[in-house]
Amino acid sequence: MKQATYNYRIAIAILLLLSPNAKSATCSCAGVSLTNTVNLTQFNAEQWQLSISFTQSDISDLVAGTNQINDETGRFRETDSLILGATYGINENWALSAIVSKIEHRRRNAIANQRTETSSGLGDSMLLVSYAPKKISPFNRNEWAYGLAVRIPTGENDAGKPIIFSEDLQPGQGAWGESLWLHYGHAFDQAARWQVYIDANYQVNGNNQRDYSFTNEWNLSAGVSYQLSDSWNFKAGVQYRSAVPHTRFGNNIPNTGGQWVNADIAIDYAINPATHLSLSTIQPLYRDLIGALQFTNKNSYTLSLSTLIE
Amino acid sequence: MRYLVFLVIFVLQSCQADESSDNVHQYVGKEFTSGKSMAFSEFKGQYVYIDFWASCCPPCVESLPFFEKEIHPLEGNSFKLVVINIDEDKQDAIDFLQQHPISYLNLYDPFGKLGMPLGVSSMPTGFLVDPKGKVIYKHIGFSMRYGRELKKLILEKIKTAGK
Repeated sequence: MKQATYNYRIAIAILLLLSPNAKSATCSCAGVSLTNTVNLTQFNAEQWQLSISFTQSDISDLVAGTNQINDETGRFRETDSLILGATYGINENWALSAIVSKIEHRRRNAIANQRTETSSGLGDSMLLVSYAPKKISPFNRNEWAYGLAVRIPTGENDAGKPIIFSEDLQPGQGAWGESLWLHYGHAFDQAARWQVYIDANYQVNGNNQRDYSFTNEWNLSAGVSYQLSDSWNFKAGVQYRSAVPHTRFGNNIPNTGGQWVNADIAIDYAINPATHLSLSTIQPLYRDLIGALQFTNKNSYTLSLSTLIE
Repeated sequence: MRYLVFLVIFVLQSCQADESSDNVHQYVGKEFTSGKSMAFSEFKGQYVYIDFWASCCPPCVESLPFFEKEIHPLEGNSFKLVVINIDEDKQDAIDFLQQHPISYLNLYDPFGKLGMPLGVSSMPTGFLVDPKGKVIYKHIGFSMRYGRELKKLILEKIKTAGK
């Protein structure tokens, strides 16, 4: 009992050291991932696919290394993101995609006060070129695709203005970035009811005007999908993410970077052959984060609607 | 350097990508029941509607009877209807046809010798081919609304061919 009390006091002491305005107290939740909306193979030649998705992420978990810290101070961090995507199939193999976002971050540092601080505005955008030489079809059980994307710093931030929030609480990163994508999928029968997939993504982020960078990260995911019926499809997978610490002026920012393993589960409903409604969630399974304490994703939920236009 | 590697992969893969054919008359198919070869060049001078279907395809339950009732009667000197089954297990298609019998030409293409050059990726996929063998219209999926529009289009082409 005494030992438990001692550890509890240490945890509180650590939390007290984290001033609300400490720029070093960031997290590698790194704002909003635009990558979740990317699909490298679902396009048809000379057709548009439009999508809109809303994601709510609770980034209130406090983690030190692999240990989750029980935070009873009442602080929280949340991010809502609205992402619009448009994909045009140049032909059966090549497609161009554009993604824009609107972001809102909310946090409450209960130690300082009970007021909820909000940062919102236009987020960063992405342009993606994808190439799918093979797609799953009635004649082909395998597919693979490649994608190259550039992240455009269209997002709002307080560069040049009085700095209110740290970088990870800004709607935009303020820096250019690029991503490389690889995808492989396999169908187990001609009707493609059962499919497995593997995706890999590598992101590189540049420096913003304040010489801050969200640096580089790997994302790997694998899973299965099953066509439950004509209208319903279910997907379950595991995501692995590895991020190096953020930097400012080339120096590592404490309490950023690490490794994450998440469960990614989705259910998809075909309103009609061209229009789909999807609900998905990402739930953490394992975390090994760099530093003494980081805010990280507790859970996130995404509702999205996509439609093909001939 | 990573972009150079990426570009090389792009270029190499693009060289291997399948290409759609420009002329359907070069193809030869096999009749579903007899296995007898049938050359598409036999349809020179006719408009042809080619529809790829599979027993696991729910819209095909609607399309095949619709073709039997509404499109098959339009066949003649100017127009031909051809459906092509792609089931890997032929028995699945046989069972399907026992429940939804058809009296128009049905070919069998499980390995995609016809389907892949035409870019078939979903079931059903239909193509309207002109008398010179060129694909002039492609549609993925089936609905009764599409069926009515297809019939209207075919009637227009038959009328044009008759002039």
